[in-house]
Amino acid sequence: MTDDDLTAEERDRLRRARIDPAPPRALEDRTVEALRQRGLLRRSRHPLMAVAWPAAAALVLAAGAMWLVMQRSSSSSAAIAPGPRFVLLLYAGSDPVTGTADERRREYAQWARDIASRGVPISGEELSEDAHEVPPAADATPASAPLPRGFFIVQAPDLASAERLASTCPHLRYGGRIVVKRIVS
Amino acid sequence: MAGARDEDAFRALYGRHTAAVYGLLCRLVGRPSDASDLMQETWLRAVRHLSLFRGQSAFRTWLTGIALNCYREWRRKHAREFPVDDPDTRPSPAKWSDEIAAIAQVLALLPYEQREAIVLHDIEGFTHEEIAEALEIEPGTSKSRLSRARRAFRDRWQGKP
Repeated sequence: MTDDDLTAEERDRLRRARIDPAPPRALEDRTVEALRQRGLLRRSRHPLMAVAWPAAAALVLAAGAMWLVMQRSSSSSAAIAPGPRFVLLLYAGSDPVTGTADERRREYAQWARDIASRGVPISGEELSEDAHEVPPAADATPASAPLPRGFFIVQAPDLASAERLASTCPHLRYGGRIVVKRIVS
Repeated sequence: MAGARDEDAFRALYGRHTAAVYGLLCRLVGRPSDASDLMQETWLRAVRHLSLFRGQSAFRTWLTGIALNCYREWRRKHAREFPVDDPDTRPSPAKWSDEIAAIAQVLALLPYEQREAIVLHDIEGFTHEEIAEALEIEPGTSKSRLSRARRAFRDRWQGKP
């Protein structure tokens, strides 16, 4: 290896830098408008436009009512911009953890803030160590399978991007595991 | 508007491919506002020349090629701009959670040629041949730029002036 070659640590560091920030939300409309002005894009013709006005109005009213119901029942999902979302489930590792819990919490929070500062919607929570099964297990012991100790919900264009993002989480540095799953919505 | 594309179809294509290409442009140009302008120009050219896409490569690869063309022209216009070494923006490698921001800061301090060598080869995983084709340089030039870029990146990362 020469001085010009990367060390394994440097290679990993640069690989972790490959996080794709979400483009500004206004950029899509700006681009569409620019394409329209150049005659490169035409408005989509939706089937709804062809139906009679009373029917269309009824549909709009129904959609509005449904939107209101959804707003009331799920205020958290309304806070996140549309797009694929993924849950990052954080499992404890087998190695003893260094540092205090508060230090780790601060580090995890800082990591999430770094991600958010790049325009990537992210939220998360820590989960308590104790767990209760419903209905209770026959032998009265709580769930024996490994349980997540926390989670992040993040918006990413695809699974590979979400995995790349997860690979930068400090949880891995503490020997933990992260399972990435797409949220079906 | 003969030949104009359907807006919904475009928005679907936009949603699928923009983030990855925009991320590359951000890493190359440093400023999100410049990356946005380049991303828009990339899509304008892509839609205008969509009939030239033959499917010999993945659409993302084709779009990335257009983005790199836009970037190359942008860089020619900004060739005389030099990054400013602001001590306040130097990274603190000990703070791992700030690592990604620190990498972006160090990259922003490198001259364009060195920054694009690291971004395209070490972060994006392009080969020297692919970089040579995208930037219209020789593969040997790409290799020597990468060597200089890695040395510069390492020095900056370690806080050397």
